[in-house]
Amino acid sequence: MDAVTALHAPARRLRTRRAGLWLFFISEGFLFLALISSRYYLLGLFRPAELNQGLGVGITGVLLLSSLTAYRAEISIAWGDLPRCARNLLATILLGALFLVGVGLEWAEAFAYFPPGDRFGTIFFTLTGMHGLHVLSGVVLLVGVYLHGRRGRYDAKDYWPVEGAVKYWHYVDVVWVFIYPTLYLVTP
Amino acid sequence: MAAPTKSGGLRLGWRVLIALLLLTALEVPIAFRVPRPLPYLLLINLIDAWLILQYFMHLSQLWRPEE
Repeated sequence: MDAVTALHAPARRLRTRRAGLWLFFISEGFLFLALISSRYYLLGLFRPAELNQGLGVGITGVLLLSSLTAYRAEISIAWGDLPRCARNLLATILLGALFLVGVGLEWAEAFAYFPPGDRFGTIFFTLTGMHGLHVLSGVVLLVGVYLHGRRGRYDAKDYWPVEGAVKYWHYVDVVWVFIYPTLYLVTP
Repeated sequence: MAAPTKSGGLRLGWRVLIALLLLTALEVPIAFRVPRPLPYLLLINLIDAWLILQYFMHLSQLWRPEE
């Protein structure tokens, strides 16, 4: 087998795709690390009393639950269960949309108490906005994968688009695990 | 996959979710009742992240490519 053929062998191709996706996660991680560290640099441990704690913990729960449905979608297709995979993808999409609605409500309240010109407002809108964009792009990805799945394009041997989109979704969840306490919980 | 069967994998997902929700629920009282909560919150976040990376994102696939 020559080098080019070996590179395109299915197992090698999957390994390369996974490695590429993880490198992407690492590079994105630096972006969020910079944004999160700017919160501590600019504000220290200050936490405004006006933050809606119920909404914050609520949307965190929604995002964690969406990670379970995404995981179940991947497990299902790995075992060749396409209908269950599609159902779980749809649930993930709906939960992602619900999270975005929650962020919208958060923003509506935040504009009243700490507008974008305010120091906390700047950090709050930048962090939630950048993360929200990632959630939105994840939802778009999952919709594409779901539509392809409904056409029967995935099976137990070939489901990289499901795996890639689901991994991206979990990544967005990991980022929120750090953003949530950074914005809502830390205090001196 | 971490679990050898589909039902085992699905059950594992629920266990991880429950752990994540419990850790998140633990964060709130720590933030409001414990003085200087940052180190405790960071520790909980690192555990959260590890659970997601290990069980949901199958991090170990990177060095066990046959999975």
